[in-house]
Formats: sequence, C-alpha cells, structure tokens
Amino acid sequence: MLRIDGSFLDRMMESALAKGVTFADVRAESCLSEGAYAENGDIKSLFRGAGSCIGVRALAGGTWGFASSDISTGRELRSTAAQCLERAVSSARAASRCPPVELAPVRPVRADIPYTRRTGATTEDLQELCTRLTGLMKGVPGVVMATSSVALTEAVRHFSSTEGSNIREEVFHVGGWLFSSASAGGGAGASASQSVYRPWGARGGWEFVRELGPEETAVDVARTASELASKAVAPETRVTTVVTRPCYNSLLVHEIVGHPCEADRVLGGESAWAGRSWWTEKVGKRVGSRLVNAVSDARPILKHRGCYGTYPYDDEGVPSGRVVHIEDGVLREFLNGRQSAALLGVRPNGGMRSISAGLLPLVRMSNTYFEPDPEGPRSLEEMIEDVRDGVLLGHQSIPSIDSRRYRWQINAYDGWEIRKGELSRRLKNLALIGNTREYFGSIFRVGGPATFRLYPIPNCGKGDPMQIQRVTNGGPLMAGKAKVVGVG
Amino acid sequence: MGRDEGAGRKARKARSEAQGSRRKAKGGNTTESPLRHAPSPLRPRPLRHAPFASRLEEPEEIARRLLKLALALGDVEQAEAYVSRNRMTMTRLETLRRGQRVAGPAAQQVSTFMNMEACVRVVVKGAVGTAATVHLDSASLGRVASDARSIARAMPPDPNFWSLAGPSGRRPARLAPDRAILEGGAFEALVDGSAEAAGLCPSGVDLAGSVIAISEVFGVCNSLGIDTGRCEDTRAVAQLTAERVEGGEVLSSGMGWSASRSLSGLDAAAAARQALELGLLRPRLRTVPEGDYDVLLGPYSVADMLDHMLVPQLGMAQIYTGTSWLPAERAATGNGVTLRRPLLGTTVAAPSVSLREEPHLPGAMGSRTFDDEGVPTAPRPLIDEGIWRGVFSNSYYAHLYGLEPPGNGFRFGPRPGRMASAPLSNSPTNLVLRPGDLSFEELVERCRCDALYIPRTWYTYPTRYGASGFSSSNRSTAFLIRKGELVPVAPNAFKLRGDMARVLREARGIGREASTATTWSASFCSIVPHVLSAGLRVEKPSE
Repeated sequence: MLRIDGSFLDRMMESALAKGVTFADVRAESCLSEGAYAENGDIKSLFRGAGSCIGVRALAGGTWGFASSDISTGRELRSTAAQCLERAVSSARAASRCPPVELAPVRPVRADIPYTRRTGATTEDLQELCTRLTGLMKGVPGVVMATSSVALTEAVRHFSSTEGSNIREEVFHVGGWLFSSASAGGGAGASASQSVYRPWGARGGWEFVRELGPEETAVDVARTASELASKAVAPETRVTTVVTRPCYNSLLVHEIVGHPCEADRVLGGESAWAGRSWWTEKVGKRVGSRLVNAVSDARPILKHRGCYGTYPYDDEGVPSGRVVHIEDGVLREFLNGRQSAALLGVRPNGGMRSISAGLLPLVRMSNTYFEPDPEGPRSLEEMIEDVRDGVLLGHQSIPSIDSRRYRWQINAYDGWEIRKGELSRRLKNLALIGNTREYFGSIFRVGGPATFRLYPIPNCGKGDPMQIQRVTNGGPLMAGKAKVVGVG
Repeated sequence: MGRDEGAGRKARKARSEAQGSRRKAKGGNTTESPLRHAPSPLRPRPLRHAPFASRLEEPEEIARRLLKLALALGDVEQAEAYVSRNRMTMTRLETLRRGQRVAGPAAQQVSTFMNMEACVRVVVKGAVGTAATVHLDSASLGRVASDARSIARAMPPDPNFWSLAGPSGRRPARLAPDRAILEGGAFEALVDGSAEAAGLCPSGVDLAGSVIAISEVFGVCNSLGIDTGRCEDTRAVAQLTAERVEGGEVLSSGMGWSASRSLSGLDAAAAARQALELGLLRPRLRTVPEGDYDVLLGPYSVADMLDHMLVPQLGMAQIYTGTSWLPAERAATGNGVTLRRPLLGTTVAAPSVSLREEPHLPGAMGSRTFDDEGVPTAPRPLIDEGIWRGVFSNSYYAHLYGLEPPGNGFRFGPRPGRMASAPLSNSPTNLVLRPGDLSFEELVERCRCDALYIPRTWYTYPTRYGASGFSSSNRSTAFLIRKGELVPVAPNAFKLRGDMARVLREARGIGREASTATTWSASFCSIVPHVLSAGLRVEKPSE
C-alpha cells in the first residue's frame, strides 16, 4: 500500500494559501481490496486490487474548484498533488461567482485513528466463505441459482485543510451480496421464479464475519425465495392497517427520511440530479404522528458498532454527531456540510462523505433510522395482537420515489396477512404506495427497543459522477395505514 | 450528433456576448435578472489546462509490458492486460434557495477527475485470476501479474469459462475522438457553455445541471493475438433542469440535454432552452385521476425505460441467472451443460418497434470501436420489427452460449470513464429506435380517450427482479391529453405503474423525429423518437 505522509499534505495546504485561496482541503487515500464471487457452490472469480488517489478542493474567487488523480507511483505523489492543487485553484477562479461560497466555521482537528484488526483473511478465506454461502443456498429445495459475492477492503484515508486540520484514519469494510432464485414446479421463465437479493456487511474487518453470520442470512434468503415461489400468494389491492418490519423500515427511512433530510437537496443544490426535498421550509412543522422519531447518528457508540455510517469525523473533518430529523412527529434538522450549514445558518453536523478521495464529498446519510418507542410493544405478537385485519410487510426490495421524496412506492419481497391478531397467509411481491404526509400521520404504534434492528445498505447512489455509498438504516416495528398493492 | 464548425464560432461569439453582458451588469441597471453573476476579476485570460504531466508511458505500452510480465510467469495458459486512463472535466450549475434564491444559476463548482489503472487476467488450468492496480511502476506491475497468477492457482477451474476473447474477423471501425477533449482543452468550452446556459435563465426559474467532457484512453492486449493499440473515445454531455419554485413547491419542471462525441456537438444553451420550454410553462392541473392510460412517452422517457427496463434484461448475465423478464428456456448446450437460453426469434414488441445497437455513429456519445476485451464493436439488430434478435454479451457469456462475442464487455465502474478495476459487464453503446412516420400532432390524435404525455420519467425501476413490471413518476411537467388538447400537469403529480413487456407489445405509434437522450451518469445514449403505447396506470394521484 502506498504510504502517504500527513505532513506532506499539511505543506500542500500551506502552498495553497500562498496561491491566495480562501480555503482548501485535500483528501488522499491508499487502499487494498480483495473480492470473490461464487455461483451454486463453484467459485467463479477472485479479484485483488490496489489503489491510491488524491483530491483537492479549493475555494478561490468565491467558487469551488476540484481536481483529483490516481497516484501512480510514490515518486509521482508530489507532482500529482501539485498539479491537482494548481488545477483546483485555477478551476475555482474560472467559474462564476454568484455570490461567494461561505463555510460554517469548525475547529481544526488533528487526529490519528488506527483500526485494530483482530482477524486477518486470505484469498482462500474469501473463496471458502463465498462458495460455502452459495452451497447453503443451493441446498434449499427449489433454489435453482444461488450466487454470493464477498469483498474485503482496507484503506488509509488522509484529510488536511488550510485551517490546520489533519486526520489520518484506517478504515476497513467487509461484506457482500447474497442472491437466490427459486422456481416452483420447474418453471423456467423468470415470471415463474422468485429472486431475492440481500446485502450483508460491516464497517470493519474480517472479524465481523462471525458476528454478522452471513450463513444464517444466506439460508434465510434461499428459504424466502423458495417459499415465495411455491407457497406465497399475491396480496389484494386495498387500503389497510400495515405493520412494517425493521427490514422494510430500513428502506422506508432511507428513501423518505434520509434523502429528503440532505441539506443540499433542501437548498436546491441537487435539483438536477437526485432531486429536491418536500421538507424545504417545513422545519418546526408537523410531518407525522407524535410516534414518529428519526435520526442520523454517526457516533462511534456501541449501538453503531460495525455500521456503515459510523465514523468519528466526516470528510470535511467535522466531528460526527446525532442529528435529530424528526422529533415527536415534528421536523427538526437536516444533515449538512459546511457550505449548506452556512446557508441554513446552523452548525455543521458532519454529514459530508465521499466514497473515494478522488471524488467530491456530498451530504450523505450515516446511520439513519426510526427510533423505537421506549414504551412500545416488545415483540411482533404484542404489536399485532389487536390488529383485526391488516398486512405485515417483510423484507424490502426495490423503491420508486418521486424527486421531492414525497410520493412513493416501496416494494417488499414478502409479507403476511394479519387476521385477528395473528399472521395468516404468506404474501409475496407487495408494495406500499403512499405519500409521506399521510403515511407518517397514520403511524399509530411504534415498537419498543427490543424490536429495533439496523441493516447495511451498501448501494445508495447520489452525485455526478455517481457515488455508490454505504449507509446503515433501520428502525423498530411500526404500524400505520397505507395502500397495499401486488407487484406481480 | 456531429455539428459543423459553425458551432465553434458560435461558442466564441457566445463567450464574447457573455463578457459583454458582464460589462453591462457591472455598469448598473439592466433589464436582465438582478441575480446575474457579477464579473469575476480573477479570470485575467483564457485558461488551458494541460493534461496531467506524467513520466508514465501510454496505456497501450503499459498494457503490452504487463502482458509480457504475466506470460513470463510460467504455467499461464492465457493472459490479458488492460490499461485505462480517463479524464472528466465538469462544470456544475446550481441554483440555491432558502426561501428566496440565494445563489445561481451559476457554475458553483468546476472539477477535473483523472484516473489511470491497469488490470491483468491470468488463466491457469481453466481458472481466471484478476488483479488491478493504479500503481504503474515496473515493480507494481510485476506484483499485480504475480497476484493474478496466485489467485488463479488458488481457484478450481471454472466449468463455464472457455477462453479469453480471440481476434475477431471484424474490421474495427475508425472513429475520430475529439482532440480538444483528449488534450485537456475542453475546460473553456464547458465554462463558457455553462455561462451561456445560465445567461438564458430568466428570474423566477432555477436552472441546474452539469456540462461534462470525458476522455477514455485505453489499450488491451492478450495472449490470443488481440492488441487494440491505443484507443481513444470522447464524449461531451450537458444535462440541465429548469424549475419554477414558489413557497418550496416545484410548480413546473423541464429537462434538456445535449450529448455528443465531440465539443462541436455539445450545445449547453440548446439544452437550457429545451429545459426552459417546460420549466416556464404553468401547469393547469395538480393531479390526474387514477386509472389506466395510453401514454405518449417523450425521448427522455423512452431512454429512461430502455435504460432500466430493457437494457439490463438484454444482458447475458441476467438471462443466465434468470433475472431477465425476456423469454428464455432451460436447454442443454452441446457439451451437456444446461443453461437458460434466450428465446431469440420470439415476438417481444409490436411490429413498429425496431431497436438497434449502433456503436459507430460518428458523433454519438456512446460510440466505441472496441469493448474492453479488445473485441471490435458491431452494429446489429436487437429487436427487429418486434422480433427479438440480439443480446449484450462479453466474451465469457458469448463463448458459454456459443455466440460470436458482439463487443459488449465494458468496464464501467464507480469513477468516470472505463475503469480497469471494474468487472466486465454486458453493456451497450448507442441504442437507436427506428423512427416511425408520425408527427407529434398525429401521435396525439391517435390517443384513445384521456392519455398522458410524459416528457421525463424518474426512478423507473422494476417492481421485482425478473419481472417486466415497473414503477415510475413524472419528474417534469407532464400533459393530460384530452380531446386533442395538451393540458399541463404539475411535476411529481402521480406515480406510474407499468409493464415494459406490454409497453413494447402495444406500441401504437412511433414519432418520426429522433433525438439523443442519455440518463443520469450513463455511459451510453439512446437515439429515440416519441413512442405512443399503453400499459401504464396512474396510482394515488396528488391531492
């Protein structure tokens, strides 16, 4: 792995100031990655990669300039860095100025954050896990195709700014995807089969594999696919009481809380790409029932151990924190970066991340979830005991949301009818269709802490160029009213 | 597509006019928007960003050296080396508001992204090991070759793997890249184009989007005789959105785009004008009734549906794993392996629908000579008068299914351009939907009862893997077509549910004018006309 000297980055920032910038920061990283992909018990590919890159942001003449490059060799680091700095400064000066960009103030931070990896992994370990997972899935009756990917990455990330910050952090990620496709009665067409995808993973090293238990997840994925193909039925379309499991709520909170709470969307900065937020100008207003509470919390506390959105400082060197988006149904605060915080007149709360030093940081969710009701039901049975007629939604699949994040359809692989307080028929391929105001306003019960779960979401897309970021989402059981449809 | 040299003179004239406007704004009152940007005193002369200076060799030379290193390792049956170098320059136009507008429309950010990396694949006893690196010194290249071999040795043979790609009988096309983009001279054109686009925006309308130029330089060679030499592809794209916002609500929205292989074909101002057409239009309806509709899809909506609901399904990886909704059956191959085979020759669309892959269109943004395995791309039918004829495939799946590799093995990854470290996909180049013979007015006349005209869909995704059902929204201002009249409907007014198989089968009219459309961050484009079809349902309209 290419070693990058933090003091070199400090000197780079000094030379940036000498060029007359208002502000500049630099991110640099080196990383190693290994990956495996298996299918039906056979390993199909193994991959190993090494990367290093550097990216410089500069504010000059009131506008941002950015330049990044891969670092081909250690000898090239200085010249590459100098070129990036020169280019970022001249780009900033060439752009418009309407009006000058301002940044909310932060205290400079100097930190070195190592990662103590307890367990190493070899290529054989990845290969063995990958093939074993597909073997477990393929062993479930009805499964015709099972695939698994596993990846382990380690990176050393550096940040330095003209304000005197310098942060070095070691970051590990482990995880992958599980896929099963099952067919009922030997049907060969895609419409006669049921496919289930599910990610697993952690911000951490190989030691998390045992904790995460992807074997159990793999078997569940396969059994779900098989049961949905053979036993489950499509739901009828109706407006009814809906109880949503934490897995479903992970996608719900992601799409209709996390995204509309990104300050760049709120300010219109993403209007041409990810869209806007219908919550613009609604801070302090009621957006749901008093039971709806949601936060983004990136703090490295025990509850967030191994979560994708856990980090001590964001990619602007701002300390992470707990950001309350919705409190007792009232909209409170957005996730922001220093520029959006300045525009909103609030403190920066550590919401800026990029997937690579070679790309610009954006406002991104961290660990974004609904909070449980301390007095809420302790189990699913308690949650539904007085529900005479309703639907329980299970594992999330694919969403479709309008560009303001107001009107949406969020699909689920599976669900159950609820009749007189008990689960009855298994349902498949169903969705809730709704709008956030009505749905959040209908929430009449939220599960207690015992029902709370968090899930990795490794594929949140935003930005141009597109960045696929890892976040964590989840929540407790929740109950409200919405329209349920079958999605074939 | 390609534009003549007059476009260059136009760009210089626009820059001159923009400078004149700035002088005028500095002088005091104007009738123009009070939020036009003030002149920047920090831009004394035109800039020209030189390419990143490097002591490194060119990609094709590094690839050849890497291949030699891999083959010299011993017990290597086959090997392939691929080296890519990409540069993306981008201006990002934004309009920011907090209640009232506080900034823009203006280029808030100008960025350059450069990446260069190498990948080697090594075959040992039928197993393929892959390793990639951005470190291109000799020692690192030696290590990555050695890594790939040790990985291959650690694997059992892959029964589906037949061979790396071999030389094709096809002559590669000759496609000229844009030299200005290649040599780092796109910067001024992008900045000026953005300024010209922003200058068209009246007060009360937010304009935002990106103006981008990308160069892709790569070389791939392998032990079977493939050596592409130096390959150069370029593209320039402007995607702009214009919206009127009042009280936090988006009252109207329009999108415009311009996509080309060269700067001379890029017209950010035209994209802005196109966006403003709908961005300025006041909707008369906030909702439409729930129900089933005929739908007239604008070119962007057609491109969006192709991108999300047909292109992946035409990919051999999805057909193989059973997650394509296109018809397939399990059948044995000649060597006894049972695979899901695509039922080519099946009717999948109306006779008026003919879709081709056209990788060699001179000015189109997705044009490419070779894929990233060194296979020459080739124009071919995908759907011919409703009959399914072609798939997208890299050499792995092509060999497995006994097909000639068509040249769709591309390495598109998380950073701009082609990435050596990205896995080989099954991706298209340019998609061309054959125009029909109907004018827009004639298409409107063909609508039965109430219908919808949707210029821009959004978040068009399948409702489940392997199904043709999808969900979407109208991101831009749409229209209710009622007795031949187009009544504007607010953006984000309704959720749509549809069935792509039905949209294709029930296409009842194809427009006679095609335009190039490309979706967010896409590496290919679609050259498509309006399409009138059925099979869409509006769910839960807005209040």
